[in-house]
Amino acid sequence: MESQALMVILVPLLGSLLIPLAGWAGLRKATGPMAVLLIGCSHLLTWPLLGPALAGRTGESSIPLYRWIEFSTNIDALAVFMAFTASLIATLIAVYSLGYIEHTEHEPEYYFIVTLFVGAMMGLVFSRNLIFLYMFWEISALACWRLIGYFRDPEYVWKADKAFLITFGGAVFMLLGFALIFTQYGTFDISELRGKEIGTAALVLVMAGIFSKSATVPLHTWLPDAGVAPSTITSLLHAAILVKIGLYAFARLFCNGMVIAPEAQTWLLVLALLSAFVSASAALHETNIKRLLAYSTVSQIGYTFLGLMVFTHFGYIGALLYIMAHGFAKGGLFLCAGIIEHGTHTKDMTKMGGLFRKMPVTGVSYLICALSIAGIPPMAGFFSKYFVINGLVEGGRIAIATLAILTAVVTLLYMLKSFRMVFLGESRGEAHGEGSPVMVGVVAVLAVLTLASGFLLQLPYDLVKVADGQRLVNIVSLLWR
Amino acid sequence: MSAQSLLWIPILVPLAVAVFVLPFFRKSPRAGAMLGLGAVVAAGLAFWTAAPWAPGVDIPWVEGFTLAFSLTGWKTFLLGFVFLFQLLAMVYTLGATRRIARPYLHLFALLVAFASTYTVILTDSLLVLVVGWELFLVALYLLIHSGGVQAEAAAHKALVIGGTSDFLMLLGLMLFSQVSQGGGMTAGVGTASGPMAFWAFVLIFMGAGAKAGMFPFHTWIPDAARVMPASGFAALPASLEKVLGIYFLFIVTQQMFVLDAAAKTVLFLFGIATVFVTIVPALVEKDLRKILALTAISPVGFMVCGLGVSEAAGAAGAVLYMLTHAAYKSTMFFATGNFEEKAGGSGLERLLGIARSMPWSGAAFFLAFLAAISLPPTGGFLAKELILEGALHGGHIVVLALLVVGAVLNVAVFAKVIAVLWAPGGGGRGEAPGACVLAPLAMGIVAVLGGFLFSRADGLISRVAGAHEAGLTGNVWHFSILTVVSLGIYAAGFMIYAAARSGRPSAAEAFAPLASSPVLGPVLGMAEAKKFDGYEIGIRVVDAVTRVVFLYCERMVDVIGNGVISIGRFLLRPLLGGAHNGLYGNYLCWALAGFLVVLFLLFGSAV
Repeated sequence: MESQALMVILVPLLGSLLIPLAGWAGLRKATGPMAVLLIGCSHLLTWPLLGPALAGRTGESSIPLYRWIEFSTNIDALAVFMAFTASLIATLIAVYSLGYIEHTEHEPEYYFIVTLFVGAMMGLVFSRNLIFLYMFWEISALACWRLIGYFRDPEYVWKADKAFLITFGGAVFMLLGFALIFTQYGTFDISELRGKEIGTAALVLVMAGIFSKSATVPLHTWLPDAGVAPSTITSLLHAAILVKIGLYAFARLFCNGMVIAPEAQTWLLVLALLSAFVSASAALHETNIKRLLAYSTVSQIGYTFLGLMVFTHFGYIGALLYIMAHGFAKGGLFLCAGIIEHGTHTKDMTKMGGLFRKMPVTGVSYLICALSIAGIPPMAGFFSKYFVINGLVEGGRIAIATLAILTAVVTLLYMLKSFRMVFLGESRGEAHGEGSPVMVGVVAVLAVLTLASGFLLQLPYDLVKVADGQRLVNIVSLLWR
Repeated sequence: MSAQSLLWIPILVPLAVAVFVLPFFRKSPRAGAMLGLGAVVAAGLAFWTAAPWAPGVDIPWVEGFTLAFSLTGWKTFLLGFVFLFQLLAMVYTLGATRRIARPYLHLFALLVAFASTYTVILTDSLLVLVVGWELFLVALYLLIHSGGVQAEAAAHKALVIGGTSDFLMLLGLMLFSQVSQGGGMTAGVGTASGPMAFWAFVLIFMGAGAKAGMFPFHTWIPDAARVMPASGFAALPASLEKVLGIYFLFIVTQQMFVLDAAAKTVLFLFGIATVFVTIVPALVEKDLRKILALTAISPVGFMVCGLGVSEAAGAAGAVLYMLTHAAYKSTMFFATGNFEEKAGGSGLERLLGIARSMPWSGAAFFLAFLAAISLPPTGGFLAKELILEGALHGGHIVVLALLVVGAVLNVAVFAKVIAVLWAPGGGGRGEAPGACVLAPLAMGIVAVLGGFLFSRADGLISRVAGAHEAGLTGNVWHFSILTVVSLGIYAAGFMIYAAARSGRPSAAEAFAPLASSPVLGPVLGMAEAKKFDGYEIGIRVVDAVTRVVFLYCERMVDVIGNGVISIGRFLLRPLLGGAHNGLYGNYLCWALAGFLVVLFLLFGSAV
């Protein structure tokens, strides 16, 4: 189990270095399939971990490195769930990239950084040590920086810098928070920090890092701006990797680890709700399709945080399921946006309309994914949102649950608005047909996954239930101690 | 095949056929409709075959969502009607595919709606019911879309209103789960037991009422009626949707909660408002589709009041009214589809005398009319009498009086419609295709014979409604004070119409002066301009609030953030400019340097 997890990390991380070599060797066309192979292998390597994780088995390994620094891994249901979901979506995005990125100038570089990005995510997921968590965190920030500015226009580079400075600044605060924790408890090992109460200063610092990475209001503005990146990258940022890192870190550090004071918990919940509502409001007034979807991500991340921060059974299960449901749906939506942008040469929804006739598969896929984000059954988004809000009610946070429901109404409004503006009504501009078969195929697969993860919810549910059980075991064992 | 497994067929077969029809029958919708008809028949046969065994399945799925389905005598009775509506809707669709802008989408949505109807009625789990219900909402959205580009706004409105009310209901169900400690459909929580119980009731009531088309969630119905295919409107908003909404309201008011005076007041307020906000505009309306839509909403007020009186008679009346209304309103929509096909529109002026030239469609409409004004022996008579009896015995005299006024106006509206359809002068247009005539005629006969049918099921209805002994429907046929009230309703309704008609050039203009009257006129004008439309008001409020938040909160944060970042970027320019120069080799050097650091960390201590 431990070596398997190590392979999940190392295959994309070290394998990414082969991609530029291939580029230099004149095998430019091979770099895409290589990236797909590496990321796909990383995903396939998570499959054997599913059985033990479902059985409730956990694993830990530790490689001593330098003085008090050791590379230690933690393999439990939470880590396996995250790794499986993120690598699956990343694999699909890599496949889509084969059709999307082939006409651009720096193809090998693109695939190199994307693969490195996925490797960093895998490393972060299995890390048990705060220092390594930080290290992988920053690798992802650097990769993200480069990928947002991929098209090299000065405006894009500025937006890439903005993303980097916000997430990097947040991460520096987080590192300071880790240092405070170390001075208090003398360890960077997350499992040893379990049950220890985190001080207010350290909490604020760590949360600054988490919120900046997960694009939570007021540290969210880099994410809508990051829409200048290729659609595959925005999809990767929103659906599979970057914003999910903050959520995972919170789940790992606070749901399964350190204890937060009840007053601080209330403030965090209010902040998450505010983030969900403010960004939903912005999405309702946005006419740029990628910015609208980005605001939607900020809003849905707020929802997921609500589930995690209420620290209840339903809340935790709902939040984890929503990470998956949102990943599939938002991945699909961004890739649909990529096809639409290719076909119309614009991101402005006021210049679209009537595209359903020309892009029926993309249209159906978009609708399925949008309905999932809006929380309409039988899509997975409904079930996970239901669990999150039920978790809030379970935790006695009825006012927040009510406001979360109202935010869900705004979500429904902007999702339907986007579908209507893009696909329905009369055509308001030139448009080609569907994208390449590979691109449309991937979008359709994500739509099917969105539908199937609702109908077949029991499969992911069983895994997150084990993860919740392990969280509760941690709490009970601490109380016993 | 076991009786348990037969329970899955009504849900899975229409779904499977729907998925098959959408991609493969785009070019041949009639063949798709034939297949759909087969699916409906298969679903009906399955539950009829399973009914004698009263099967039940209980499969744990994810937490809270137990796949619990059962088929009791009461459910079989309801599903019998549901099957009939579905069968005739599909028969009608078979003959009307050419009238529908997107027939393949229409078929797909109809079949999904049929599957979700079975899900809602067969399930014993509240959450599975919600899932089935939402599936129905999505089907409704697509069904309205099948009317073409002009139907898109109405579809959007229906989904937003339905989705919003369902979100509220979900919150109510979560609160209910807390107060009933996980209790299901038969928990019987007192609404007086605490604020959380009361609010749970209000929220669930809103959600269920919205599905039935109750005020203030009704405004999408007239909009949809104008643009969606007649067969679609007859099948969903006019019949199945009402059935589901009232069915769930019945469960809410009779099984999940025990209503106190405050909860009953809520029901009465919404019920009475529903009756009047729609029946008064129906008097002056000049479009038959819209009249039928408005008169599809006002009966919901009667049903809600029937459920609120907390008498067995009221509850039984509400359920029977739900079935009768579905039968007569779908008949009317089917027939209207035929009329407008020939007349080229549904404006009353165009339809003057059309029933004379389309005798079979006209006959069907007339049968439905008899049930709509609650003439004996129709199901409408039995249902309305039971509701009034419940209000009388429950001591709700004001409610009774207001319902009687509503019933009088209802008679006046339909008297106008009948006078228009049979006005002198129509002729020479010819009848609709066979399938389009057969469906409304059969449904019209069911609406008329409803009173007899319901009387035969008296034992079941009395038991389900909570009567202490059978004979609930039998009492209606005896002469009582309510018989006099009913006769008064018919007489007053026709007299009001006659008075309004006198001096007008055509029946269509009968109530036209109301639209220019000093008080009612401006109010009706504002209603026509959607000034009272809850959806429009809600959208404006949401738009204003979110715009303020967007401009003065989100954008402000961005401006401040950009300022801070510009300063940071200026200070770090030498570093960033050099590091992020767009040269590939540069980034590779970064990565390799990082890789060397990792190698050092991994093997440095060993060295």
